This record gives sequence, structure tokens and C-alpha cells, in this order.
Amino acid sequence: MLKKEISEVLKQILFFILVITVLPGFLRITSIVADQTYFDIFFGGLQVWLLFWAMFMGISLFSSDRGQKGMEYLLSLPYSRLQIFVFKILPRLVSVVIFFLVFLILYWSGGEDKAAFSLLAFSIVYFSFFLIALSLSASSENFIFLSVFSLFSLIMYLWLIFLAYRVAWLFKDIPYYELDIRPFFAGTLDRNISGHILAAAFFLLLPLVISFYLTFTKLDGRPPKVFNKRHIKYLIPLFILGFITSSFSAYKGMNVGYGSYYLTQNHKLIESNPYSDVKIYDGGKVYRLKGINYFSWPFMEENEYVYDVWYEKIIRFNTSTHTVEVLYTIPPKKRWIGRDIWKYGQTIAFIEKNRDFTNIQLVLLDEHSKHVKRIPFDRKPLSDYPNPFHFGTGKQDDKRFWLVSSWGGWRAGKYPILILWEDGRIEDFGYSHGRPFYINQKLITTSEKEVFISREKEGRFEVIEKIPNSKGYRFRIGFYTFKNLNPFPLKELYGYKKGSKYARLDLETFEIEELSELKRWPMGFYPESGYYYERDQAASVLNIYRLKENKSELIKSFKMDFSKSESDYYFTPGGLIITQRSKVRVFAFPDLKELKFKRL
Amino acid sequence: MTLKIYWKGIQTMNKQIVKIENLNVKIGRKKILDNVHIQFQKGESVVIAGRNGAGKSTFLRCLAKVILPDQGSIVYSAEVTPEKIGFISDRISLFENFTLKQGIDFHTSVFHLEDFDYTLINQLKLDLNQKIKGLSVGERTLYHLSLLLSQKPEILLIDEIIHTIDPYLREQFLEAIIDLMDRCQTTVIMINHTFSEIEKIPERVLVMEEGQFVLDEKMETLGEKIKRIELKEDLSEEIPCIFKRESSFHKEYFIYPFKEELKKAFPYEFKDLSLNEIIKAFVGGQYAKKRNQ
Repeated sequence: MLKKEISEVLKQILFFILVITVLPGFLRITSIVADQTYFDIFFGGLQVWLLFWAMFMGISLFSSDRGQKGMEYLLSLPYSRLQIFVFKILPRLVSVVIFFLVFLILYWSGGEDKAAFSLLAFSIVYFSFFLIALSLSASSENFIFLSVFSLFSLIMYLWLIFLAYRVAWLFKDIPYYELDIRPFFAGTLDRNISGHILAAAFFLLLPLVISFYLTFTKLDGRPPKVFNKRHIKYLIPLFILGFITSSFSAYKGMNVGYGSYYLTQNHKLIESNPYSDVKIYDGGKVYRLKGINYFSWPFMEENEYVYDVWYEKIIRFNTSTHTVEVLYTIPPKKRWIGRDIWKYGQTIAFIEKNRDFTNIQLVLLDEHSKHVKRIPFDRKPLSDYPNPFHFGTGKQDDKRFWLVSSWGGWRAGKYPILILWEDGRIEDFGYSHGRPFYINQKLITTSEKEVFISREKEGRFEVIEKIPNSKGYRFRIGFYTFKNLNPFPLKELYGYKKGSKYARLDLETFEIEELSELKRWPMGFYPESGYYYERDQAASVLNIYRLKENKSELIKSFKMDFSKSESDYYFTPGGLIITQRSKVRVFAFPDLKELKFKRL
Repeated sequence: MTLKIYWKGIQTMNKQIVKIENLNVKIGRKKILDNVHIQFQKGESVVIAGRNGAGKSTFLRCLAKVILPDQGSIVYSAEVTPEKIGFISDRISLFENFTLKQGIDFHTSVFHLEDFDYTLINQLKLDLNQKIKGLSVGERTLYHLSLLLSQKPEILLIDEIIHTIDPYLREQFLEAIIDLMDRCQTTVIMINHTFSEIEKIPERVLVMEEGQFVLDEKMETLGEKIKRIELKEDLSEEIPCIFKRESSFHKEYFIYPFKEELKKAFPYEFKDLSLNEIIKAFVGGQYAKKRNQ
């Protein structure tokens, strides 16, 4: 019996090999496909041919016996149904596996670039197609019907895999995720998702195989509808179980749904997830901001307001009323420059360009009236560098000025500086070696060996202080603070030089003091305090220090497993957030006391 | 040509070879076999008759394991291993793409046969290298039978096939079966509609209707239990009649079960029936019953 089945499969294999090897040669010789090598044509079609092969191996389980009118003879042979099951399936399964192995060898021997689908997608579709076709093989005596039905079932099966993900995402409360099968075929899925798609595919396929086996043990000479009825009877509960398991697997495995969090200075927690509504945890309650499903890192926080960019809009969260307001929508033909958005008073300032990179403008948005004023400054030397940014503003004799520079000067150590005056005048201040700042109504620029303190005088900026900086420290300001251009007194700046020590620039005495104990870059949540952290990898401890007037003080230590990729920690103006997978802990500045939020 | 096949007097061993209990088979919602209970003895020859769709073939397929019952049991005696059951379907199911030789090799291998009896094949002068699908229906039937004979089956199940083959091959077919029963004490259960050629073969006659056996009689007593009366008037309601046939000249009544007392009580001429007529009466009776329903 096994010999008969092997012989049948071998004949089919020979025919298949003949087709897949001769056809590309024919296409090449006849120049129907002229600009490709034989291997290109061969491998290009191989994936598709193999899918047909997998399907054929499945649905042909009984086609030969039926075609020869031998079903009753087969069933009357002195074998149990299990033996018949094994005899019939084994050679077909082996052939399918062998062809898959051959495909893998070809794939890794230069075929990868010519593959139509990703290896994961192909593997799932290939084996699924075989097993689906196999499980349907006894469902009808019509070969064409079986082929079409197998293909339809495969499409349904793939759709169900993604539906399992959809269900999982709904349970994860991330309803905005769009199901897209293209990354699955293109192989651009996240590795973690790939693993769970494989698991979901398995759990959805298993019921089909089990149901087919159970039905096969009762296969008999009655019409296929009897077989189908029994198959469906087994399949439905098993399939529901499989679907739940698939969804659960997807649910457990997905980490794309983990939110990111932002703790405000008034201790409200904003949860953002690309696929879900933004939520504000305020004490014991959770407020959803319907229709806002994502925010990036807020660029500003002031009183109860948190400012952010959402797609092409500047939005403002009110953490007291738990509402959101759109302040500005970028015009269709404009684009952001670096999305650096600043605020002073009630004016939000940012830089826009036309989409063709012409007409650089400083845009001033009044957050209350939403009135917009544009100041063009598309001129040298700034236009020689990409990505201009706005870093300060002030007033002189009731005339406002704005300071702009360019991130493009970073590599060359040449930050060009322009001062845009309200009367339309543009003052060229030259270059700074390090990034310029405008703090305490003073412009701070550097050369390689000096720090310059300048201030406006009679409509022009003049250097009022030169501070030696022989070691070339580059001073910076905390990443959050500099978005807010509202003046507040700042006492110090911290700087470093690669491979050297850290230094502190006292903004009252203009003295540079060397520091040595700082192990990480301080985060400047001024004016209250600066903070920095130290990661003690060996002890698995995260130490948080407060830094003020050159005094550092350990506030708290946290035990953390840095080896786990799911673990993360980050600081916001309100405090520290530690996440491990879906578990979130929140600690508030200044003393890092843990905050508890219900339903977090 | 009239065939005269005579039963050679094979003695039933009176040993139960298969016991069927509570057998139920459904197709969709339709009950094909309905709670069938029956037993067969070793060496017994049985003919099953019944109208089309009565469940005969399904019953035979259940015995051959081609159909697995939804409910009930078929218990064979120890000597009836799966290799010892032979089944010829009315569809003459074989792997037709095989040559005769390949078919023989396959069958020999699957049924673990040490040798193969080519007698029938030689008698028919069949070319072993030709494909099975090239054989006529009759040749294919004989070829299939030759495969089964080599199994020396304990039980041989023959679905309605005899009437499809020509008289010459039919004679060979039946002779081969009789020879088998003679040699191996094989139990033969066959479905047939026409009995003129095999009248002397069956020991036991079964009639199936609506998935149940409505007649199960030994051949030797069957003739005594069913009689025919020809009348011009209506039959007394006291006489059990299974089938009535009317013509413009007379009315025919088939009486079952017949008892000798009826002869004394009624002045009718109770005539004997051939097996063919008996089966016709039962089948006709079932059709009439169905029509009345």
C-alpha cells in the first residue's frame, strides 16, 4: 500500500520537476523572458509553483483512487483507517518537506533577492496550503472544486490569522491598529510579531488537522456530505478553541501595544499608544481623549497645559479639563523644519519651509487668538546649512528679536547665528563652535577655547564677557528646558568634552568649574533642579541623583534587570517612569515618591 | 441459454461467523439501516433482496467495513480476520490504472497471500499486462473474484453484480463461488434481484425494507410459508396477504405467512411459488405499501 502511494507521488514529483525546470528554459530560449538568467526565471516562479505543489499534494490524497473508481476497494483493504491515513499522507508530507528543504537551500544560495514573499510568509502559506488542501481532500470528488475551495480556505485562513490579531488588539485596547497583510508577505514585520504570527498560524491550523484526522478515522464509502458534516462537527469547537488560543497568543506576545508615558509636573500621567486613544490618569480616574490616538514627546509643559505635535497639528492638552485643542495645522504646501517648536509668553514659535525647501520662515503663533505671523529669513549663511532652529527671543526698546541657528553646523563646529529683528532687519552674528544659547537675556556662544557672553546693545549684539575654556567643554542645556523660551533665571550650564571630565559654567560668576563625579549627562528640569542617573550594570541598580549648584545628591536607587529588553525607564519633567512589559511604575520629582494610578 | 446451477449440498456448520446488533447507518437525516439485528453462520449462503434504496448495499458495505456504522456492532468470529473478508462492489471497485499483474501483486501483498490462483484468469485468457480499465464489466468482475478467491475468504460479500455479466461469465462466476464454498466453507452473502440462475444456491433468503429485514427465512421452509391464490373476487380479510396483483381477468394474492389451517378454512387453491416470484411478491408488496403511505 505504502509502495503504491510512494509510486504515485514519485510520478507526480517527476512531472512537477519536469515542468518547473523545463518551463524557465523554454521562456529563456524563446526570449519570452529575455533579460533574466535561467536561475532568475526558475526561482522567480518556484515559490508560486511550490504553492501549487503543496495544494496538489493535499487535494490529490484520494483523487487517484477516486479517478480509478477504487475508493471502495481501498476501504475494504485489511487496514485500519489510521493505517490508510499514514500510508496516504506520509509520502505526500515527505515530498512537501523535501521540496521545502530544496527551496531553503536555493533561497540561501542566492534566491533570497528573487523571492516573491518573505521566508516566513512562504513557509506559513506553503505548509498551510498543504494541510488545508489535505483536510479538504475528502470533502468532494470534484478536483476543480477542491482546488478553488482550498485556495479560498487559505485566504480565509490568512485573514483569520490577522483577525486573531485584530481581536487581540481590541482586547489590548489599541483599536487604531490597521491590519495590513503586506508586511507579512514583504517580511518587514517585527521579529516578535513574526514569532507570534507563526504561533497564531499554528493554533489555527491545528484544529483543521485534528478534525481531519478524527473524521478520517471514520471515513467510509458514504457520500462526501457525510464526511463534511462530521468534519464540521469536530472542526467548529476545535476551531473556536484554536482561534481563542491564537488570539491569546497574539495578545500575550504583542509588545507593540505597550504605551509610552509622560508624567506632568502636576503629577498627571498621560499614556500614549500609537494604536489607542490618549489617556490621562488623574488620581483615581482615567480620561480618554477620543480621536487622539498618539502623541510624540510633548515639546512644552506650562501650568496645566501640555503642548505637542500630532501629525500636522500643534495640539494642547488641558490636564485639568482633560480636553485637547488643535492650535495650528500646517498648510498643505508647507513642512516643519525639524519639528522644533518653542514657546515664549503666549507665542509658539517654529520654523516652516515650502515643500521644495525654499522660503524658510519663522512662524509665530498666538496660542489664544491663533493669529499667525511669518518672518522669512532664507539667507546666507543659514541657508548653507540644513535644519534651522530657533533658540531664543527677547526685546530691545520694544522691538522683539528672535535668534536662529542651524543644526547643520554641528558637524563642522560652526553654528551660524542670525538675529531677526521685528523691524525686518536681519543681523548676522557669525558662528559659534558649540551650540548657542540665549539664557538670562544673554547669548552664549563658544569658540574652541573660549565661551562668549553677548547681549544686545543699541540694536546690536556685542560680546560682553570672554571666558577661557582651554579644555573645550561643550555646554548644553537639559533637553526639556530649552523648548521653553520664557525667561527664568538659570544659574548654571553643564558641559563636557568627549573623553574628558564634565564642567559647570556658573552663569552669575562666569567661571568654569571642573567636575568629575558625573557619570551621565544631566537632564535639566530647571529651574528647580537638574537630575542625572547612573546605571550600575553589575549591581543591576539605577541610581538617580539631583544636581544643583555643583552638588549632587543620591535621591533613590531602583533595582532593575537591564538585561531584559522589555524593561525601560525614562524621565519626564514630572518624574521617572519604569516599565517592564505592561507593568508601569511612576515616581515623582523631587523626591521620587511612587505615585499610584488606578487602572494603570 | 438457461443456466442450471445446482447447490451441491454444502452443509452449514451451524457456527456463528458474524453477529450484527443494533446496526444503524444514516446519510444526512435519512436512516439507511435502522436497528438491524442479525447473525450469519459459517458456510451459510444468503441472498438479500429488496427494492432499490432499501439499504441492502449499505448493509453489505458495513460488513465489508467500507461503511462504518453510526451505531451498533458487527462482531466477527475469531477466524474472520480482515484478510478473510472478500467484497465485490456493484461498482466493481479496483485500482483501474493497474495492469492485471500489478493488481494481483498489490492484492497479494496487501492480503499477505502466499500464492495466487490464476485459474479464472486463465479460463478467460486475460492478458496480465493489460490495464484493468481495459477489461469488460464481466471480465473485471471475474478478475475481482479471482483476487478474492485467492484470499480464501471466510465470508464473501457480493453486491448486485451478477445480472450485469453475460450468461457465460455468469456461469463461471457462480461455479467459482460454489467451488469456493465447497472448499473453504465460505459464508456467501449476496444481493440479487433475479433468482432464476441462482435459485438453488441460497440457503437463506432475506428481504430488506426501510433499513430493516422484513423476511428472514430458510430456503427449505420459505416455499411452505408463502402461497399464491388466483381469484375473481376479493380475498377474505382473515387471510394474511402481503401483495395483491390485479388484471382484467383475475386477482392474484400472495399469502404470507401461510398456515395449513387456511386450506381447511377457505376453499381456495393455494399455489407454490418460485424464489423469483416470492421475492417479487415481497418487493412488490413493499412498493404497494410505500404507495399507500
